[in-house]
Amino acid sequence: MLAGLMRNVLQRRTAFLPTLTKCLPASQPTSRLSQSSHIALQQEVLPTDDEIRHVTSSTIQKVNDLVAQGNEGRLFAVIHVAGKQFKVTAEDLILIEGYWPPSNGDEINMEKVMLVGGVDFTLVGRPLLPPGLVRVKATVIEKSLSHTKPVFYKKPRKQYRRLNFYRAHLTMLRINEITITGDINNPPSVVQVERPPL
Amino acid sequence: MSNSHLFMSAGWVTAPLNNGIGRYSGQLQRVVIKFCKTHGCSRGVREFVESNLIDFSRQNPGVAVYVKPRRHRAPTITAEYCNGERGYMHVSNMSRDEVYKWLSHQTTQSGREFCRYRKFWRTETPSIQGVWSPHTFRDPRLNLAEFPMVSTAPKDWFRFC
Amino acid sequence: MQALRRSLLILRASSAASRLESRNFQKYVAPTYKAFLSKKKKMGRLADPHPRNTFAEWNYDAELYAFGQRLRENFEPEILKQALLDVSYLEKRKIEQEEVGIEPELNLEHNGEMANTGNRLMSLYVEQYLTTTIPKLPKKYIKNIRDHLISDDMHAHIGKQLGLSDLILCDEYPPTPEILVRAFRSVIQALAISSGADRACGLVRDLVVAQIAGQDLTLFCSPENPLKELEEHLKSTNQQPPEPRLISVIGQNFILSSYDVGVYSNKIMIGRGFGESAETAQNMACCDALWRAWDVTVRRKPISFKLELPPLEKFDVSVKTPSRPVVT
Repeated sequence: MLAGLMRNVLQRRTAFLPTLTKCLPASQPTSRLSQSSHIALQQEVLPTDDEIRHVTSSTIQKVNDLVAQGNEGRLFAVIHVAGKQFKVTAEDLILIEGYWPPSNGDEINMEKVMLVGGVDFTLVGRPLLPPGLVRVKATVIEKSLSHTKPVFYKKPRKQYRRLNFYRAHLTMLRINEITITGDINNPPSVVQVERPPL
Repeated sequence: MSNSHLFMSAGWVTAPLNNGIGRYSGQLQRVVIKFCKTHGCSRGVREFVESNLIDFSRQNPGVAVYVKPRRHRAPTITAEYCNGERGYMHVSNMSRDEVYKWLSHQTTQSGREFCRYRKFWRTETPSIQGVWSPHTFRDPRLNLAEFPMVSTAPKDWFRFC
Repeated sequence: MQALRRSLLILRASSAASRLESRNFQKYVAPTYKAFLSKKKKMGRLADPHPRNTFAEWNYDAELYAFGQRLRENFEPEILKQALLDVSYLEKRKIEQEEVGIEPELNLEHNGEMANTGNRLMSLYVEQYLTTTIPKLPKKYIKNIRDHLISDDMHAHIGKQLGLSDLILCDEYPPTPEILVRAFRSVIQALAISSGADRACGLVRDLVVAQIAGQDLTLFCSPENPLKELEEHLKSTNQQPPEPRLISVIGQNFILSSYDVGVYSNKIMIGRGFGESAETAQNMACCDALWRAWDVTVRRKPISFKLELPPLEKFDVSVKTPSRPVVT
C-alpha cells in the first residue's frame, strides 16, 4: 500500500519535469547529471574462465564460512509439498490442502527444498537443492476440514445444472527450524568420476 | 456461491498458544458419547462402545471420555476443546467404523471457531532480505542533482527517478 | 521496517475512517437477526452459564489425569487438586457451613502460596532463558521481555487456553482472570513438586517462553533517547562516536516525504533508518544500530525453543527444592 502511494508520488513528480524544463532558457548550461549520462562506447571485456572460477569459489567459501560461524541469521526456504510451493521461515504456519497421511504431533523433515536464503545470500536449486544440504523441520499440529465449498456446473440451454458440495482435508504444519547442514556445492552423495578417455 | 456469508467468517491461520513451537499438545479435552441402548440408529455407536472405546481411550490419554446412554434419543458426539468451544455431531445410523473415524477426526482439531481461510500461510517475518522502499536502488547522483532539470535532459532521465 | 510498519498502521487507520460502508443490507439480514433475538429470549439467562463441573458427565479425577496427559506430564493428583483450589471456593464453603450451623472445619489449603512460589520459579527461569538466548541485550530490556511473559494478562490467557476454566474450583463461573493467573502459576509449582523443577522448567519453556515466538523484540527495547544511548554503547565498546548522515530524501515537499539516514562509526555504517522527518529518521537509524548490536532485529537467528538449561539451583542458589505441602 505504502509502496503504491510512493509510486504515485514518484510518477507525479516525474510528470512535472517536462513542463518545468520547458520554461527554462535554452542557453542555460546542462547539469552534471545530463552530462555524465552520455556514455561513451566501450569495448566489452569478458572475464576469463579462471576469473569466473575464482569468483565462484570465493563466493561459495564466504557462504560456507558464514554458516560455519553461525552468522547466517534467519533463513527462509521455498519448500515443495503436496503439489504446492510455500515460502517459509522458522515459526511459520502453513496449511496443506488435500489428503495427506501424517497425523498430529508428527515431526517431519521437508525433503523438497527449492531455495534457501538468508540476509546475505540465496541458494537456488535447479530445481531442487541437493538432499542433505538444508534441513527444514516441521510439526503437524492440526488436521481438519475446510469450509463447505459449493461446486456448480451448468450447461446453458441444455437443461443441465448440478450443485455439489465438498470439504477438503486441511493439515496445519508448524515450521520449527531451517538450517543449512551440509557444505555448499559439495553434496555428500555425489562422487565425481573422471570421464574415461575416448 | 460467493465467499461472503453472514454466518461464516473469514480468518487467518493461527494455532492456540503457539502450539508446536515447544511441545505439541492436543486441544480436545473431553468427549461425551450419547446413545440409546435399544434403538437401531445407535447400533454403530453401541458396537463402537463395546469394541473400540477402550482402545480409543488408551490411544488418547489426554481426552476424558464420557458415555451417556439415554432412552429413545438419537446418538450424538459432543467434543469439548481447551479453548471452551464445543463441536456437536449427529452419528445416527453410522457404522462402527464411521463413528470411530469421526471421533478420531475430532481429536485432531484445535476447536477454533469455524472459518474460511483467506491464506494458507502465516508468517510473522514476511521479509528477511528487506522490503522495497523508494530509496532502494536509487542513483546516489540524484542527491546532488539540481531541479528543475534542463531541457536537454537525456531521454532516459526517468531511470534516475 | 519499523518505520514502514508504523506508517502502514497510520495509513490503515486513516483509510478505514473514510471507507464507504456497503450501501444496503441484504433482505435476509433483518429477519435472521429477529429470529436470533426471539430464540435468545426463549432460552433466557444466557449470561449465567452452568459450570461444567455441575453436569452429570463429570469425573474430576479423570479430568485431572487427562489434563496432565495433554501436557505430557505426570502430576500427583492430590497436589494438582490443591493447585486448582482457589481461595474464593474455600470462603464460599465456609459461609455455607456457617449458615447451616456446622462448625467450619476445613483442612483444605488454597493455592495462594503455591502461586507465589510458581511465579518466582517462572520469572527466574524465563529471565535465565532470555539471557542465554539473547546474550547481547542489556539487562533492563531483558527485564521488559520477562515482565511481558510473566504478566498477569499473559498467564490468564495461557490458563484459559489450557482449559483451566473448567477445572478450577472457585466461587464464580467463568473464573475471573485473577483466579486463572493464580491457578496457572500453581500448576507450574505443582509440577515442580510432582516431577521436579527441571520438568516444570521444560513446561515453562514450552508454554510461556514460546509466546515470544514471532513477536517483534524491538518493541520491548526501544530506548527513549536513541542517540545518547548509542553514544554510550559505542563508548563502552571502545568505538568511534556515531555520525548520522542523510543518505537520500524523497518527496521533500510532499505529505509523504521520506528521509533515509545512516549512522556511521569510523566511516562504517552501523545502522540505517527511515522517517517522515530527518529527526525521526535519525532516531530510527540510531535504534537500528542499537538493535543490530543487541541482536534483536528480525534478521537474527530464530530463538531456539528446545534449549536445555542447567538446573535452576545452579543459577540461583536461593531457590530451594520445593517441599511437599500437607494435603489431607
